[in-house]
Amino acid sequence: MNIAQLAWSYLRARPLGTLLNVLLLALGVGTIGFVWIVNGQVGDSLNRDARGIDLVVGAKGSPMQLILSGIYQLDAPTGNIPLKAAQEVAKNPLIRKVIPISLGDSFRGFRVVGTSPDYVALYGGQLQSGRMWNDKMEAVLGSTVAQHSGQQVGGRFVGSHGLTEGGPVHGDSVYTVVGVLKPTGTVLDRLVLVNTESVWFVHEGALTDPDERKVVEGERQVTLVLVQYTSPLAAVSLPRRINSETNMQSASPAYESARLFRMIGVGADVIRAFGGVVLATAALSLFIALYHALNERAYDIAVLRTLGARPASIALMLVLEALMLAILGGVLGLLLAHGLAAILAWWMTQQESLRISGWVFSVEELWLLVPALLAAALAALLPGWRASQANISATLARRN
Amino acid sequence: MIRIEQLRFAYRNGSDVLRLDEFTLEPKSNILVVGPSGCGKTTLLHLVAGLLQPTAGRVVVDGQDLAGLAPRARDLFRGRHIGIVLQQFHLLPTLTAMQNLLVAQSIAGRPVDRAAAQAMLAALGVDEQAHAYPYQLSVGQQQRVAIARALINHPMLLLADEPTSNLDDEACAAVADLLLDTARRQGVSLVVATHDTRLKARVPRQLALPGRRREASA
Repeated sequence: MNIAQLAWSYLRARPLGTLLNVLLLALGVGTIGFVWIVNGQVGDSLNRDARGIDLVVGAKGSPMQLILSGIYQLDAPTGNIPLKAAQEVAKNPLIRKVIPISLGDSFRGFRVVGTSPDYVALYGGQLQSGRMWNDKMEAVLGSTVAQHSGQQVGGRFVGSHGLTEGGPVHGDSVYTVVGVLKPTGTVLDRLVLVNTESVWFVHEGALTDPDERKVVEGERQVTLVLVQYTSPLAAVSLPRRINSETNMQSASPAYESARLFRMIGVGADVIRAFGGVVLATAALSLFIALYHALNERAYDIAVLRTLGARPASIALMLVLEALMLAILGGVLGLLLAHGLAAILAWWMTQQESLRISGWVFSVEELWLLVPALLAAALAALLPGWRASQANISATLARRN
Repeated sequence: MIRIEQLRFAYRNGSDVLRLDEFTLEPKSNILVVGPSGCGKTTLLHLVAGLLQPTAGRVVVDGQDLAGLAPRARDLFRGRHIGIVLQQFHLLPTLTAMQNLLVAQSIAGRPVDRAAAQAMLAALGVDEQAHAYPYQLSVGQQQRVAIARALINHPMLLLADEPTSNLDDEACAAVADLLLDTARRQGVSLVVATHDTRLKARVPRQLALPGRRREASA
């Protein structure tokens, strides 16, 4: 039965007040924690998907849109670019590698991406089963696609036109699933991957007339290309040259995703501020409870002093009560934050949006307990000091 | 056990003064502090317990001059060597009878000893109520637990402030018996501050405090 156990006994003796303060603290920590977790997860997700891509080259339009459509597979593309123009860019010695991306169709809401095996390699994609494509109309499924559609190696499906579910079906062009990828935690998981020729084939149909074939092949397009530099110096000249000398635009994933993150950041700041207000309310509620306890327990405190407790021990008792509430509220708040993040993650999955996880725990998030502990310590400061200064003799004499 | 020399205590409002020039209490002896209401009985008890500091003079308890101790040491000295029973026999309401004794051990810096606490509760006949909370105890049981708590650290001195003032004759006699018996059995000196005339027959030695005197302003 030490001071800490005594403090705990007082918390147990008034469960409703304790619950209220724990919930308020949990709500404050939960709100701030939720923003922190989601921010981190979204940032990680954005960085993971953009890793290894120095530049995106596509049709003129909004650079943000180009990044969103080309890297994160979220927005509609800005248009297509001629294959020849893309090949021209690729000849530049500052460029190590280009990866073509051709969009246009989808399967059950998952995008069909015409590309090269380099695209899979970029995200470290590995086969769970089957093999990579060798020919047109062979498809490799991302793990999420396979899971949601139930398609396995050997399965057949037709794509529908457009990037969302419900477009007209390309009934005569049947894809065969030849491989399924392991989960990568990147954009790859929610894509149907085929070679670029497949996308051309689906939209051109089987060309029988050799002249027509020649014309069509000469006008072939891709949606955009992902570019890797040979040297970071390329960033100085290459984007500007593409923007001014060609009919295409280039966009930097690093720059645009930082901009995107800043835009999300404004919303995050608002929620974080709200969390701060809740936490301040919790501190006030705690302060009132402790101050009230001072009067309620004046005689208890006097008795403790007659038993030999020093003033600092009395103050410590109140501070410990506040800190216990802060730890309870803080831990509950972290669970709440993860729960909310998990709900958001589930919702984003339904929206075919960025992949985040609510149940990733890190040691750093224990820092989120600090504001709760500070609020509690602040709330306990004055009551603790007053309790230690109480005139014991007068309190005892009043009752006599 | 207690030696008081030239004790003066000025109240907050300045002029009222408690005076006690000479007083000695031998070990294992009992005394009643009597006098009209407001004469300073409780004040004297608080001075002996070190809860108040004298304006002048010395209070020596068990060979220790209380004024010579630092505040922390004085609190610890009180916890270890002086047992205090209050008028309301106030138990900490959030703790069981047993825990009320254990917290007294802990606060006095003694090792927590459940067996000793159980034995002390048994000595006062409330061992079966060890795990009951104060609101579950009768008034008589609460008094017994409070006395057990005052004695758990084996003090040399037990101070009781108006222990019988709100009790009927029967209860008064019971509490008086309990205090005197327990003090004798535990070998403790007992100081009872009271205006209860019923106790005067039970404790022969008495210290009568005069009513508060106004110091003549010079």
